[in-house]
Amino acid sequence: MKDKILNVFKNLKVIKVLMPGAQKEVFVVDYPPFGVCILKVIPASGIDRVEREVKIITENSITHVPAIFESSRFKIDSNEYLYIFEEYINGCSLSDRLKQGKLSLEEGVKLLETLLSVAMELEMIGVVHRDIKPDNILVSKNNEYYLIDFGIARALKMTSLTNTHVAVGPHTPGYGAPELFQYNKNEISIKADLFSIGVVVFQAVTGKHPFLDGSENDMADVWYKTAAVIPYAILVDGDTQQLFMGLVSTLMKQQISKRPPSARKAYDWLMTAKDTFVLRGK
Amino acid sequence: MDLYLQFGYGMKKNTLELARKWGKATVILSPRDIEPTSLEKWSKEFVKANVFTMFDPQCYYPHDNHKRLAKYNYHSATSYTNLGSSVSTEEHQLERIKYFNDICKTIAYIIPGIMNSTIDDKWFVKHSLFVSAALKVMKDKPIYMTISLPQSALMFNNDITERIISETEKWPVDGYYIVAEHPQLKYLVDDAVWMSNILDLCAGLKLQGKKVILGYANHQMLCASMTKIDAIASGTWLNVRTFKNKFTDEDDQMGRRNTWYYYPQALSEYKLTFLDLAFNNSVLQKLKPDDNIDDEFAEILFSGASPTSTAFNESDAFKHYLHSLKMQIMSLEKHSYTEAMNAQELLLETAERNIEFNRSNGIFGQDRDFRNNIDINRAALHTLHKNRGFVLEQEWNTL
Repeated sequence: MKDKILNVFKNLKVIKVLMPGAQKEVFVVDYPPFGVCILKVIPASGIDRVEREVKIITENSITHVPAIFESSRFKIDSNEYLYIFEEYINGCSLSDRLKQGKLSLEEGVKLLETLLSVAMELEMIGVVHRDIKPDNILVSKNNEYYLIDFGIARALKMTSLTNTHVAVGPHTPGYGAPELFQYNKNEISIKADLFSIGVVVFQAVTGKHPFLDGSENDMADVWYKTAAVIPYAILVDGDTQQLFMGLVSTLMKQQISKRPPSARKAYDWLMTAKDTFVLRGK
Repeated sequence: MDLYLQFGYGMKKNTLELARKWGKATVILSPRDIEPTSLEKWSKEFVKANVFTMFDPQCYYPHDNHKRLAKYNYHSATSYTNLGSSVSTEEHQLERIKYFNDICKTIAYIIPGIMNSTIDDKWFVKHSLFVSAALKVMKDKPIYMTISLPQSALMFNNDITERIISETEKWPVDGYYIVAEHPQLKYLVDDAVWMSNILDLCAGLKLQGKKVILGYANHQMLCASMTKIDAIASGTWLNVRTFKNKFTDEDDQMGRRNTWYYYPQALSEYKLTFLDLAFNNSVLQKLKPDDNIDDEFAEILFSGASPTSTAFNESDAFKHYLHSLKMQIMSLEKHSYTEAMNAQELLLETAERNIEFNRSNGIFGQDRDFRNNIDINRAALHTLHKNRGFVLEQEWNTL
């Protein structure tokens, strides 16, 4: 497959194979029009969600979301594929980063600020990511955060790609808001992403998942705990008035009405609270 | 938060007197206590006395045969003959309600809310119809939607509260007028879940940027100022200080047997005979309202005679109660959420201390003693802080 792709794109050099496979192949490539970038090649059957993802990202230039340079369908051996050239972020996933230890308050603030600014842009264009989790956040070598994988994003003004009759909407258990698995399409808004942002940031700065402790037997158990467990209040060094953790806890309230009314509002609150944080080097 | 007056039997004179003392007042009129023919005349007197009015249509039980409300001829939407026109029965009903609002020169419209035993899809549909009709019929003043809740809606858990907050987000009204039945219809609420839920509902609606009035309230709802709602409404007899499950034509007969004195610093009320005991035990002066309450209505009780021998009467007791409540509300207004919460805690601690002092001197409030309600309010405030404290703190000066 790699050789056949090389034939399609002249002067393309594969630097690294990130994900070999029959369904989807992902490479780090050097391709003159875009320089070092990511190339994804996906069989064209049943790729509605991928095309929705491409549309969302190409039509909106979202800060801290890797850009898509080019995307189109093409054929190899009479089989149709979709290729995507995407901005390359040199770094690792937040999951991998957290294996080395939790984030400091300074890093946590930067992570939260980044995710809320992305959420603000998504709110403006009417998109809900629905899958914000450590695996879908990249940390670059210079400590910038990026949100990736809009594969199950919901464009609120576009036709839903999820069957109306499904009982559980797309999400990752443990990070998805209760309204995603107690599926009611009418209740899905940016507040679902705010919930996930709260969970991710809580986990990143405390080293613990707010609802799960690893003893969960099955998905129902995870769902139950996500909807019912009230996280312990944890003090974070430098959060002098506990406003950082106060905001994080408010983001991940299980009941929608108790979360911030908008991403913009949550972002504003973070900016106000920032003055109370004692950050390293300050 | 402000104090509005909840109109009830014999309330006209008190309203005028309190407006005189306060410089102005807002009263929520009760058609079951005013003859339609008196409305215009009374409203003119109110305007002259700087009394602002709202008109509660009281359509909580549209299928009840309420003789006094029936005189207004809008009591039930189903009483309108559907002529097959494009005007809905709700629009007919609201046009009639608007007519009475115009007579009273109200400052805002209160549109009907129905008291169902369950808050279900039908309830939301019915209320949405009222909202749609109001937008067509009532275009010249703010619109407040009535949310009338059976006691069960606020007990056990907060699923219904959450649903109301989430569904009402779509209603394009200016505010809400909440009337909620107390558990077991008790005057003072002793159910911590109910109390937490009413605060949560108030806060949730207020945080949507809407005006919120909590009707049929008493001093236990002083804690609602932590939710930054615009007003609680209270009145004279117990049937306007707590929302009853049914309005009957005999309501105005209740509560007439005794005169009660409200001791603000204990959040409790005492019969005059207990004040006599305080007089005999030389502790009566301890029960005086704080100086900042500046109360002329109860002064006579502390003039050196045995309280029952003074001219202090029911009307004085009502005015004293409402004036004290107004002053207590003002004293709880603070510049920050933290200061406001501290003031609430201090209010409860002071009440607790004073109640114990009174009891040690044989002075008991009986079923109006706040002793067993202090922890209920504490629990509700703690829950509010836990659930919405961060948001309220951030938004305190914008609400």
